[in-house]
Amino acid sequence: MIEGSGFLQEHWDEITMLTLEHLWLTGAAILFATAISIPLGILLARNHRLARPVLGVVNTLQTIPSLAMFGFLLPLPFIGERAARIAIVALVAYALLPIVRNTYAGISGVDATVMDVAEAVGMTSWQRLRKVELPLAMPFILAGLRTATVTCVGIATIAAAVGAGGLGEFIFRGVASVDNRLVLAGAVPAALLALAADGLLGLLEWRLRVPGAGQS
Amino acid sequence: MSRTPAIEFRNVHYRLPDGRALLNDVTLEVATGTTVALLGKSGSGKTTLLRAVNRMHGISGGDVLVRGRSIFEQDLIALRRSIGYVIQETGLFPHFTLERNIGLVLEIEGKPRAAIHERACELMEMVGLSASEFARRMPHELSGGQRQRVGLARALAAGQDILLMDEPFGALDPLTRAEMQDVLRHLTLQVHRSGTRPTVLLVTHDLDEALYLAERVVLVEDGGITANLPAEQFLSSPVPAVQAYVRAVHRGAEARS
Repeated sequence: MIEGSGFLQEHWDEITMLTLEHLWLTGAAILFATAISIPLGILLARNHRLARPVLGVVNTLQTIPSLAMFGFLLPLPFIGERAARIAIVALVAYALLPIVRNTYAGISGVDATVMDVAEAVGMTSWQRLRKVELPLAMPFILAGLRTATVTCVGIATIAAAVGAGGLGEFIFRGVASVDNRLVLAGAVPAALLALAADGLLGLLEWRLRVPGAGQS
Repeated sequence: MSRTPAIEFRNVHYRLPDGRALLNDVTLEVATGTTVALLGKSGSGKTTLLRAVNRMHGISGGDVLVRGRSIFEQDLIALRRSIGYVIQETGLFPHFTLERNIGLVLEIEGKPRAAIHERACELMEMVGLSASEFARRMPHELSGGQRQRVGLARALAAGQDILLMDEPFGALDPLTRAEMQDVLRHLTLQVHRSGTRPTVLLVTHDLDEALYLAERVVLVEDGGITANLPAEQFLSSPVPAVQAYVRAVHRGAEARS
């Protein structure tokens, strides 16, 4: 116990620093992924024929083992030059699927009658998107964002393998030196981050759900 | 009466890619300020005809004129905003309050918030819903009849002088339906903001509803018009198709008499 608190005290600054680094890597990746995925999901909902091939490609990205993904990105120009860039690009690749899929499903699932009326009363296609489709699809989009965030917090620990920092640093060091305290110093804050993100986004999702919207 | 009809169908055709005709040479005038019922069974083409007016359904031949001008020469968005649209499923926006649902067309036209609020409350009272009680409610908290009142209010809120109604009361129980028919009748008899009564094109399969609400009853069969009669002459019409329809509806009473 005394030994444990001594360890914490000794590593406190580093834990804080690496947690922040972890947050920044994940946050940046989620931001980029959202910026790509939501418009892509909308595009797919407008062109159903594109949905299958595009979701297939995005799905394939998801199946690449994360360590291999970091390895693939290493020799690339620009991206491979900085460890943080590699980490963020890899995380974006993993975050795409849940957000694209849920945006696509959420928008495609908006009640057909509601969309019929939206058109018939003279909403422009931009108004239909902004006032009807996105609000009604929002709980779905947020659910996708939530899955993506939790996944990314976990995968970001592997970013330390290419020197991108984050809480994985502790874990790799702990594994190398067979020191479980170090492993836990990385794993526990990472788990807490994931839980916090899950809880916050879950709360938001619940707040934005629409009773009687008829979404399946 | 040289006034331009509110809606005019001129030799309207609609053919499916396989050659089947959904609308077959329909010519029909809906005089301004009148209610015309399109009566017919399911699949007769009456909904297709109705939806051709606000271009929710395309046509493959002929022309449709609204307020004297071809709908294909008019701005699509402006045309749709100028025509009220009421359907059986209501199609209220589940994430909007009733006030916002009613003021929707004003909102998308960019009208000031205060004006929208005032108009929405006025409309709510007109369709018999207390504004103070209902303005902030959500659609799922309403009964079917109340939802349809909101649908009606929405269709009139922006001063639309033409209403397209597709089986508006079809999903309601007979008593609520009768109540709603009275609300609609009351509204169409009222002098509208523009100084005229709204023109109503009503799709229904309910003969009684057609006779109660409309000045003219048009029988639609297989995409064509088989009768176009003043309501008071409909029941006594010698046209076989009309007689068949009338007989089919009054079977219950006849069997017991």
